[in-house]
Amino acid sequence: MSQSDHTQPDLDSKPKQSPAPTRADHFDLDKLGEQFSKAIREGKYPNIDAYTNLYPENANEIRELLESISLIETFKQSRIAVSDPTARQPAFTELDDYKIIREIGRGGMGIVFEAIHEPLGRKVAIKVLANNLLGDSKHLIRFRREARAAAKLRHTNIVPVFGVGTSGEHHYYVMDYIDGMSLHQWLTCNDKDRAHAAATVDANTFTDSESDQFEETGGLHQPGSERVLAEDMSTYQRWVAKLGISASDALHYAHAQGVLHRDIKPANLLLDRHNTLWIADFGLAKLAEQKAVTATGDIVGTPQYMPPESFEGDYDIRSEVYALGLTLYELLTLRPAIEGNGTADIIRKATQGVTVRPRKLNPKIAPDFETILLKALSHDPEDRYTNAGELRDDLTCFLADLPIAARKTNPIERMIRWSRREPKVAALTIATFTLLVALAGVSAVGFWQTKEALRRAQASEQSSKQSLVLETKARNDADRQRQLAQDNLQVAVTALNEVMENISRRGIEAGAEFLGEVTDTTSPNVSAEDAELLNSLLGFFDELGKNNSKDLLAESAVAAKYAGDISMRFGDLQRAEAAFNESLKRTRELAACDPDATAHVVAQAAILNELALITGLRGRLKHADNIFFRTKNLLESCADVMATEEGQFQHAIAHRLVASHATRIGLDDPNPNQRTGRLWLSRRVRLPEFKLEIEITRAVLQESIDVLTQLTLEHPEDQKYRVELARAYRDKAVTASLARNRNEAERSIQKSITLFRELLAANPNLDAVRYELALTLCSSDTFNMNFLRRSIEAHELCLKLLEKSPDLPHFQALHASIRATLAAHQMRTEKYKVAEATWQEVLGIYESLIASSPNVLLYERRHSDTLESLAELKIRQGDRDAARNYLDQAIEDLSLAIKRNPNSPIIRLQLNRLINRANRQANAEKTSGSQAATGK
Amino acid sequence: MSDTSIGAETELTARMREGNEDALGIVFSDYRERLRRIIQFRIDYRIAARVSDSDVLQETYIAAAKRLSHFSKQTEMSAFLWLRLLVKQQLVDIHRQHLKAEKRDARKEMGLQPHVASAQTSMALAVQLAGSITAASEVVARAETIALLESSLNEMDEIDREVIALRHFEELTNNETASVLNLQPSAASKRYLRAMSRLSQMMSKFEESQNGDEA
Repeated sequence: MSQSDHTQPDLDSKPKQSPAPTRADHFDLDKLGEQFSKAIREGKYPNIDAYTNLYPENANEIRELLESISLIETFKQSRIAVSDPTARQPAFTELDDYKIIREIGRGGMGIVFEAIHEPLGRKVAIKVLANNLLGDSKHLIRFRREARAAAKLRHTNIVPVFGVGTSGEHHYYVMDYIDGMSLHQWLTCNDKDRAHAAATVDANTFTDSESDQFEETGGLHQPGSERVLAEDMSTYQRWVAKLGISASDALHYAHAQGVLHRDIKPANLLLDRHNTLWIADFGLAKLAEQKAVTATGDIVGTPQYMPPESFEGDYDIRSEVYALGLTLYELLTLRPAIEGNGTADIIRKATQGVTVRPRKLNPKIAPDFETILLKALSHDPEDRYTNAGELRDDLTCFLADLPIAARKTNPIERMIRWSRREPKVAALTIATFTLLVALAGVSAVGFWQTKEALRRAQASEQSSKQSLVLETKARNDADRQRQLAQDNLQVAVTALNEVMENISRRGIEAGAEFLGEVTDTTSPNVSAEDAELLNSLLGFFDELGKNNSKDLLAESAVAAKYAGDISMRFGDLQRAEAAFNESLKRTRELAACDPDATAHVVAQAAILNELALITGLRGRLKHADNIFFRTKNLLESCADVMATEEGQFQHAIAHRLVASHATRIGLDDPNPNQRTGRLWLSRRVRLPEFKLEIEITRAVLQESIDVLTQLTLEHPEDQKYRVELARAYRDKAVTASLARNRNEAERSIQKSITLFRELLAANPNLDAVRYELALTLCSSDTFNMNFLRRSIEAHELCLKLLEKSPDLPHFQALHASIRATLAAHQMRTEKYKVAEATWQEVLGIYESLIASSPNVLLYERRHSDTLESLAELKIRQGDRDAARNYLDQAIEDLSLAIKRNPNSPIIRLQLNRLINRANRQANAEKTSGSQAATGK
Repeated sequence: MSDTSIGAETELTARMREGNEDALGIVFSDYRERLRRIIQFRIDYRIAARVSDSDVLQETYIAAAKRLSHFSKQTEMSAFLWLRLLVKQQLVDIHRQHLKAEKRDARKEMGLQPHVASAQTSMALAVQLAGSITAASEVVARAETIALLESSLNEMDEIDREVIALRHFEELTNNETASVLNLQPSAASKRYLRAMSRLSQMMSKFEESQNGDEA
């Protein structure tokens, strides 16, 4: 009988079924124990009662034995799982394109190999993950996503990740090969080696004679080595501080990208032969952690290096500051900050936090360094450095002998607090952090990297095309091709992200993402170079999209959406629409593969909303309405989706957009005042219908506002909800003033203004918020008592915006809009001369806008509106010829526009209206002698 | 291990004793996983990072093939116990080789090896035992039980610990254990039961004292 029979669980038996023990003639406790052990080893769940029932007279001793056996056997099985997760994995000689050279090490998560990427001849390290870590596909997808996020990190102190792959049933993670040792190895190797390592890694601080000294003392004093520390503590701690600076800088960078490491400890910090520190295994710790939560028994962090709050499930960037603090503490004192006898003890100590001050262990440690560590190792996250960047800065100050920030904030108080471990009521500042991280995210990658990415992307596009040709030639090679495509995709996605970052850095401000629809029109900040790169990338994604892989589908859907966003910024609405449609198609396919995933549904809704926006901007309102119903049905047909915040958010946006379109008809937001005769603009000409329309719009908007208000209350930290809510109130104000409900209009506008003012106060540098506020300010109608004051403020804001970015079309359009509002006001107060000058100014702005952005129908319409207003003015002044002239110009304008946009009902309506008006005008002129004609 | 396998085993064993290497191959692959288990529990974790258990198995097989003639003289010993002996000799050699620098008696280190960061083990095990329990405090409580087991095992006297190791970690039967320890089966059984009983007592004593601490 072979051993494998023992370990195979009996598949036929039901899990809870206990194998029936049998009563022997005479009682043999040992035999019973053996039977019981065997059952456990076979994967059954024997019931102790079944055994005690056989020999009731010996029940106690049986129970005692079997309980112990149960404990030991379970302990053993899981120890096997932990100690050798790779037991079932055969030895590798190669993995896809990688030739395995040797095994570097083993850990809870798998085996690390040194390998060569054969096509490139590049040395890499490959982590082959233990099979039991990625049991089901959900984890696999998550792992890939995490690894991809890690692959996007580019920092001189983060081990570059090249990608993930799958070969047969083995999943692996490819990273750069670092020739050196981990700080864990460094700390555990004997002192002689350590002194030597320190000497070689920092030639500047460790002179030859010093390193000799190190070797001598190190050789003499095992393992505590107090003398080593005493001999040259100052040089040594400067070296530790330098490592700390590298590590915290890398962490700070990763945090800004939204990536947490989650397992910072000496074993994950590598030291290469050139004194460079590298952080390894980004994205892997989470994998192990979630696996542990699913109870299959692998590693849950290392309690020794876990911050206290993580035992309660809290973990953020300050937890990583703490973990790094633990590592620096250990480097400095040469003993772990948390030590204990056995797990329970270690966990208890870890939750208590560090209690022994470094200087107590070694008085030669600099007081400032201790202060820095104490702050990083504060038990309450509130008391720590708020981010790794602050830790880095303080370490840098320490090295430069400058005053450190930690010291400034009353070190004595901290010391007392630290020793007492007072529990504190925490004030929430996480919200601030989230925003900081979001804002910092964009500014980290240099322009040269984008260029580099372009080169790489183009190279990989070519190789991908070649590989597609190859694929048709050699079908049996398909698996490898996919791998290759995935690697290339990785590069392409990275490049794409960089372009997006690059554009948003130069164009819209950093952090403006939460504003969603920032620009209606073109941004001149998108360079031709970006466009070129983007085009090549899109071609590449199209190529990859032909591959039917689900992963690729997801990436190409995202890529197409990016393409849409960018085209929007170009002001190329047609192309943006095509790209969004493409993205929608792929997202739908994805949803079909994975019908349970709510994320795909939400993604579809988000794209549909973009499409609705574009369609609205292009004046195809019926189509926009259709899109709205599609979005609504899509979201509402899935209860799960509507239960998610994202789903509710998209639902609310859809409602707001449709309302916004309704009010946009003929109104040319944001200014409802330009002409008094706006009501007869549309198919809503007849009053009852129009009223109904307004009622529907109001109801729809109200629904949007309700949901957004709820979301804002639940997530006060998430600014995108507030932005959307403020926009909805603005639309509500416009709708209300259309319905002549001035009180409601005023209330709504006040709410919108308040919300935007708060946002602006929180983000004083965001011009996009300033722009939105100005839009709201000039949305109140002319009858409003605050109208003039608001228009003036809007005007001031607008001038400020233009001062900074004089070329941005949507700022110019805002300017024109505000000036037009003022002109309308001047007309109402019968200051015709001033009004005429203002209208002429407005006309000029629109003319230049039309010249620079010929694609935007809105500008043409406003241009003709302005002409019409001038005509109106001339009529009031009694100059009928001039009025006629303006009207003719306006008609000519619109006739041209209609040739370019034959499908726009709005333009057609507007043109018809103008022609009617001109005809009435002519009739009025004819009969002017006998009657007073005001032309209605 | 079980009685049914003895017939087949003795035939193969007999051929092994005649020096038949094919028979050795069959027997060895039958016992492969059991032998691997022994390596896993007996190898020092510092070495485990450098030497895989497959390496040790490989070396053991080569040694067995070389010394097959010795087996014919070991008429008292079953094939499994002989291979187990070779595994242990391999481990001693490897330990001596790798831990030379530390001037430790490698043979002395051949007990149940403490595991790589054993804190990690107990935590992982606790999570496994905890099943669907998600509260951190409960997982921690489980981890404490396991840590307790570990420390109880470590505090037992060497003979008691060894007999538990043989019966549970190496999965030897009582007869095999008796043979390894050079005892009568009944004496081996008595020793095992006594060790288990002591373990159980130690566990409950620890539990009491810990509950006392917290009260």
